[in-house]
Amino acid sequence: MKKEMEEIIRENYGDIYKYCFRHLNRKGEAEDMTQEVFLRFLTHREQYREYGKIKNYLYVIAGNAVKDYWKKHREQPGRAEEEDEKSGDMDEVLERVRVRAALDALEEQEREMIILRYYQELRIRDIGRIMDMPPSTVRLRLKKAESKLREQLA
Amino acid sequence: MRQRKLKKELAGYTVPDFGPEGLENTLEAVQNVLHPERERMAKGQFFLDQLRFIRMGTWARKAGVAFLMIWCLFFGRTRTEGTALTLFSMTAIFLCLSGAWELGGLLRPGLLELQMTARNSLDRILLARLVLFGVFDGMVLVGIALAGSAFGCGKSWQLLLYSAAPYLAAAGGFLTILNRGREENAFLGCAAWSCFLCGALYCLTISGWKLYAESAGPVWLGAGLAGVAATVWKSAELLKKAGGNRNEINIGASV
Amino acid sequence: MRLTLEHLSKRFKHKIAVDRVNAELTEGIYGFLGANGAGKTTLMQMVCGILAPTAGEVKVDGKNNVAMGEEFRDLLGYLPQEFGYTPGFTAQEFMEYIASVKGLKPAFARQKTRELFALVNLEEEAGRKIRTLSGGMKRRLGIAQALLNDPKILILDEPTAGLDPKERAYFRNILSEMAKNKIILISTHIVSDIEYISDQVLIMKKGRLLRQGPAESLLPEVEGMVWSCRIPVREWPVFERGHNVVNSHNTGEAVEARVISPVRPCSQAEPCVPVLEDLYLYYFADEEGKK
Repeated sequence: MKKEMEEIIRENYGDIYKYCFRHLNRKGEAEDMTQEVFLRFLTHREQYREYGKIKNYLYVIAGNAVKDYWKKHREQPGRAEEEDEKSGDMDEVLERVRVRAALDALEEQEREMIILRYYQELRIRDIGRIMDMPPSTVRLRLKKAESKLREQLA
Repeated sequence: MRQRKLKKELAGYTVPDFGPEGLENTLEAVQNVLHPERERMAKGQFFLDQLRFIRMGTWARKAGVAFLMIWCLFFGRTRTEGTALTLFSMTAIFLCLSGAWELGGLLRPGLLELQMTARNSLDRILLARLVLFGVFDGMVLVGIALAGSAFGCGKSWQLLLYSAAPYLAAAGGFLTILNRGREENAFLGCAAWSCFLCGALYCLTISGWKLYAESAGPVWLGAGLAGVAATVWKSAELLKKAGGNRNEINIGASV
Repeated sequence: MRLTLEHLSKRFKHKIAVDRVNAELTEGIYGFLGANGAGKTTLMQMVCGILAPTAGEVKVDGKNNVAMGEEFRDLLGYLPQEFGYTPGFTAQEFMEYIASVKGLKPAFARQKTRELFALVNLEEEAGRKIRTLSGGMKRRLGIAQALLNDPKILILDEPTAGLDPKERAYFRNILSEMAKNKIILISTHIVSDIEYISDQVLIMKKGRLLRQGPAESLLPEVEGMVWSCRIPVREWPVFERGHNVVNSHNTGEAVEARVISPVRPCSQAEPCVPVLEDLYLYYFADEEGKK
């Protein structure tokens, strides 16, 4: 059992971390949250079947962890600016800020879809399982989010 | 496709790589949940945890001796003779003895081997106690010396030497004895050494030499330093011997 | 896991206690059989790492046991021949102390102690001072402490000394249950302790390893040498002095004896199927004061 678990963690750590970072915008917190996601997964491993794949279940847990985090910290999502200022040159920083601002302008659900689709590169069907909606609904709302984003970024 | 263009733009939002410790910490955390029996205490936690296993009796004895020392000092205040100070020096020896007794209890045959084969081998166990007693007794001696001088029983450095020198002489002897004998002999040996030191103090006192005069200060200092050297040397020897794996033990176990 | 003894030797001033012992041990129970003075305790102390060999080494999966340090000790559970305990402690306090020394966290230690006390049947004595416990209870406490850190290598030196037959049986059962994933070394001179539970028997005499193997594979050596005889009571004393007797039973008119002998010891002797005790006496008759 242990070997299996270790493989799951190694395979998925990176993706879950990136997902958490895109929500929290803080490296340390993203790492902590990633750890929390895997520990939670440990205690409810068998439930992954409800979501089709282990990967999907991990995103569900991560999504809930993010929601819990914001409840606790009561900040508006996407506000942490410090992280941006830390790394990269001026252009990189500007670009990051621009994209983040565009994402912030979206509604929570739309933003979530964009992250899962464009950053985590999940299939529509998997996104549907994670967010608990039929694939057609996902496609529809995703299209809407995309056009909103394009407007923002233009 | 427009989606490709969008994707390109979104890629501008870069994410810093996670640190390698992040992954390792997560793996370890999961390992601890899956196998709690494999969790081990860090050395620091071990040292602190050892505190609770030191017998109450030892602390009680130390407290008793400390009070006795204070009483001797105040008794000496009303009497100007050196006998009170002699008693003061003698009680310091017994402050050390209580610690030696505690250590001796751990060196019993049978228990000795158990500890040597454990993760935190005997040398760490002994070290924890040597450090703890050293610090505690040191604070007691310094505290009494300061309190005593505050109440006019004598100069603080003098009082400290009058207690520390016999204490260290006792410590050096006890450690030598613990290094050698089996448990039963160790106890007798330590008791004998204590009596010897007390006797020596007594003889020196009645010999007429002003043992507690300020002029005798350098003698006390010398004795104290010799005591420190002996204690450090013998402690090191004991710890090395207790290291087990790396050293011979000759406990006379049956072949 | 592989525990290897390579040319392991120990020389004291005038005596060679262990003489070039070679063995390779994997999971299972290994019974070290030998009379007192055969070198078993010295051998076990070297395996534990508390006695330095004068030659040879002990390896775990290829790594020297002493060089492994803490990591090795973490794998180890040891019950010495003479079991010592902290003065004034209760059984519970002692277990918690040893657990601490083994590096186990206090909360886990308490839980593990409960489990182990249940295993060795000491639950009711947990709060009693060790010095008030019987010999058998102390032994069980000794076994319990050896198991605290869930050792992969368990070394028990004469673990059943002083136990009554019921306790010995109990102890055998506990060990058999655990043998699946541990390397267990038991040293004893009581054959019945290991006869049915050992996967392999190692016979030691005067520091040397004479034989190693499953009991069934060693018995052929005394095949045809074990006899059952019926000797008249009058002739018994002479007979006994001149023969290697495993056991005897005086029925009043005659003595029925089990004897080890390369030739037929008496006219009506019946051959018997050898068991481990016969093998033991075959090797150790001289040390047991017979022959």
